[in-house]
Amino acid sequence: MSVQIRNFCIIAHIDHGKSTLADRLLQATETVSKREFHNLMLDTMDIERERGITIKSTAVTMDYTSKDGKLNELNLIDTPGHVDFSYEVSRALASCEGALLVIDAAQGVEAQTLANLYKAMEHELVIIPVINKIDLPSASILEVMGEIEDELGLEVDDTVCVSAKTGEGIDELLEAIVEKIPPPEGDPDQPLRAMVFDSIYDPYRGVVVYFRVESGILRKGDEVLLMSTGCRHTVEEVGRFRISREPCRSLRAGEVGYLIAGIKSVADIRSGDTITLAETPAESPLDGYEEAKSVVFSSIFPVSSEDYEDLSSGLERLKLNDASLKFEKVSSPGLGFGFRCGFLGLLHLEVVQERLEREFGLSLVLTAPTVLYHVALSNGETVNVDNPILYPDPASIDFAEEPFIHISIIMPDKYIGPVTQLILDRRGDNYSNTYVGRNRVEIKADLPLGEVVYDFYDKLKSVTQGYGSFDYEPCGYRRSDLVKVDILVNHEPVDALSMLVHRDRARPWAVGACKSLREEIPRQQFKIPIQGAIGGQIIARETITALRKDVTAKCYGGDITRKRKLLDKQKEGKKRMKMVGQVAIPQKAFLAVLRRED
Amino acid sequence: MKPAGLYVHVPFCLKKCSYCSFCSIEHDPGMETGYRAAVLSELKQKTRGADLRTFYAGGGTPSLLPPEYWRTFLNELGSIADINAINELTIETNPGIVLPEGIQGLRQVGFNRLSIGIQSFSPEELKVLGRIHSPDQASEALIEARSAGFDNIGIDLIYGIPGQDLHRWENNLKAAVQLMPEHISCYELSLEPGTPLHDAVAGGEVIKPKEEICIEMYFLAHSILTDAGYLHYEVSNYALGTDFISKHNTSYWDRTPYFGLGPSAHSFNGGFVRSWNTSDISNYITILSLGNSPIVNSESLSVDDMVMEMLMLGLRWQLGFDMEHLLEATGHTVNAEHLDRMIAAGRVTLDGSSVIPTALGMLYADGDAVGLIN
Ligand SMILES: Nc1nc2c(ncn2[C@@H]2O[C@H](COP(=O)(O)OP(=O)(O)O)[C@@H](O)[C@H]2O)c(=O)[nH]1
Ligand code: SF4
Ligand SMILES: [Mg+2]
Repeated sequence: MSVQIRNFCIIAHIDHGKSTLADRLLQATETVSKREFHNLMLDTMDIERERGITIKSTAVTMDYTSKDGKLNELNLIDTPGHVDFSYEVSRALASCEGALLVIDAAQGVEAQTLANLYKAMEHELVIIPVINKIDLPSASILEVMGEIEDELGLEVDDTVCVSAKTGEGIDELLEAIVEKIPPPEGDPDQPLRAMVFDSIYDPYRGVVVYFRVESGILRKGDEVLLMSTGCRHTVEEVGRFRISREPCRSLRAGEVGYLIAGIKSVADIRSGDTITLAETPAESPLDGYEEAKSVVFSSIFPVSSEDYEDLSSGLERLKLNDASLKFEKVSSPGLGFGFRCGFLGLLHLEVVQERLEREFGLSLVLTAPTVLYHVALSNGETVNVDNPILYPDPASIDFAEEPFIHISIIMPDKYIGPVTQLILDRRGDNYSNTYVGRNRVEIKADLPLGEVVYDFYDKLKSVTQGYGSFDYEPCGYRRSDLVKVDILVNHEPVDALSMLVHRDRARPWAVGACKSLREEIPRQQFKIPIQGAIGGQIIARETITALRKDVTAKCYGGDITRKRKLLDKQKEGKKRMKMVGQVAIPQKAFLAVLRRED
Repeated sequence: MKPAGLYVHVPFCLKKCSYCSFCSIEHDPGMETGYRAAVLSELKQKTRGADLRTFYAGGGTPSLLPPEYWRTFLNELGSIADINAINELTIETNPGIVLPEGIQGLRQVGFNRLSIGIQSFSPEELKVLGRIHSPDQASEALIEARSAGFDNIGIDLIYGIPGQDLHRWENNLKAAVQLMPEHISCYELSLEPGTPLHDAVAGGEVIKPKEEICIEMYFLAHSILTDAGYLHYEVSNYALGTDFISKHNTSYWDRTPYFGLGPSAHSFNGGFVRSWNTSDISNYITILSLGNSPIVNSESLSVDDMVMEMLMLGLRWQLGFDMEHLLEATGHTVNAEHLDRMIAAGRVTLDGSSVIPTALGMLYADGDAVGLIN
């Protein structure tokens, strides 16, 4: 008997129940036994569970016999949910024919419901709206149905109501998946073309490549060719995703699975690449492949220089599983040895930092995130600068260019005012807005990328109370009046805090940075001037007054313990300080400057 | 058996002061009866056979307990330890508490040092502090102590009181010097959360002098008292010559063992173990009435803990700490760069391998202890 294939993903606004629904589907299809089951099966990293974000795509194959008696292979592909990873998301969506759009019955349609719906539509996926949490007393199913029709323009008749908590409606949902989502097209007799949508590193087996076969058949033992790099590998194992990997002999057009082929690091394999057979290659790769490019750059230093080796091996280890992480050695006069790193965006940066600190026990200082600038020198040369320390002497610069992006924001029209203001504050250009629904507006504008990587996304979320969806694409470089702002603590420049900014933004940035430092650097036994400067010109200034005493008056009644414990805390704090000249700067002071709310 | 100190905590006062976060409650006769018996049984539990050199009755207000009680206590002590080896017996009192006969009684039962909680000679300041006595009673207490035969008297003063300025502090110091007590403690007021004065300052009802002023007050005390012949031997303590340095308090700073009796009292075995009693007075009484130990917690000092203690305690008093001794006892050295900075800034001087804080340096004892740790 032949097996029908359905490839789909689940998309939702955060907390609407995507992970819980995935758990229920795994149980209903008996993909996972009672004994093996734990909550949030698909969120495998601690960081994913804790922050409620998915970083890596995963997939799982479920067997399901539908009411008509047919055997189905349901491939659920779980995708990350953040703009930093939008390329990875697009590759995962490209591997599906359908999407379950989960909407919380009590919350209704929210920003990411829309943003995710648009993405799914771009990939021409069949959408099944799923109203979740119908067990809640506050569920208002009819109202949400109305929103699905009016705001999303989807068919109410296609909607399935479920409770991922109680399991109600899950059987109907499985039927709907089989009925409504079309089977994959693709001819097994054509040359092999399989699209990589993610890959992970397995310490025992090397890289495990996740892919979907578009045409042809991939067999164990085949010699495959990765079309973007020209690398060849022999397939040691091919298989399907169950709760663990399940080897099989071959995967054919339409199927989703993995292969293991002695690949050493995920850096050797890029999402979006096309796998074909080395002997009978396809004529052309699949569409949509892009080179990984770093968008945000920052240097990472260990707080204690002894931890340099650990930082180095920590980054190597993360890199095994994260192809988009780039890094190289740097040294800074103030901060010693560290690494200059490139990231997909600010969330990516934070995730890397958090994992280094948590999984490798490191305490780190990161420099201000920067984008890549083009600097044309008077002598006709052009240099690329992604690190303020390497910014050429202003006297030798003809002009500088900064990267711009074209952004699109969709949100309820009542937020037009604050969002427009935010865009103008961030030097937005070519602003326009159009209504896309009854009360819904799309704003488009061009913005300097440097203004967006900083904290634009967080700001947008806060001014729109989470109802603003955000997307962007690069739109080239433009001339910019760029300056380098230095921060001096006790007259010594702290290179880690230097920043490249537009001249108009230099003063506010410097003033804010000096203020944060004044608040975070503990007073020391001498007065500490803190200054912001462009070249020799001081544009901001604060002073930390001298600490004139640091002793508790009385050691009362022999209670030495309490006093010692207070000092032990200070001693711990000292370990998290960087000496810059005479001044001990706590790690949190660096963070405060870089993550400042302005 | 190492020579040791004995402390007994009496947790009763006539009225709670506005800044007080010590373990003390307003006088409660029922509780007091239970307490008396409890302390006596703790004394027997803990100090049998100890080689005691100092005894200190603190609180609270230990002189609220009558001399007869102290006689009983000291007799009891004499039956389990050699009381003649104790050469300093201090009791704290507060002005306006004890009648002259009472003070005489304390002298007669064997106390040879009296510590009087005068705090201030200004009526406004005494009011802010919530003290029950008047300036006159403060001076009288000292005069009465003298006539009762105490020739080793200490008084406590507080500076940094809301409303106090340098001039008023100077008057307090001068009034103190006129009385010529053998020992003067000058503590900066510390506002402990949960006390009425803390809340009043937080709520802006009264204003505490700025830190700069408090530091000037510290140096003013230093210059007036050293000019008057006092030795500034610890950050907050002055003695009229080395003979009058508080021997008991010294044991806290030089890591001599001490036994603490009474609720909230701390003990130290001179080596690696510190322990402390419950600070709940009625629990304390109940536990001892059942014959159990009131110790609720203890800690074993690690080598790092010892280093921290030797530095933080050493830097707050005239003997400082000895680097060779530190090395012998713990295997640790100090951070040389930080020490150089301290010397350059005039916070310490070197005497052989001893690091001796200056009056300025004592003000930085905590921060420098941390800075010196490698
Ligand atoms: N009452 C109820 N709670 C649900 C249901 N589905 C999910 N939840 C809860 O909603 C929260 C978010 O669910 P989760 O699956 O983590 O959402 P995700 O962020 O979309 O992956 C969790 O506390 C779930 O327990 C449901 O059907 N009913
Ligand atoms: S006299 Fe001392 S212990 Fe008693 S209440 Fe006042 S400050 Fe507290
Ligand atoms: Mg989730």
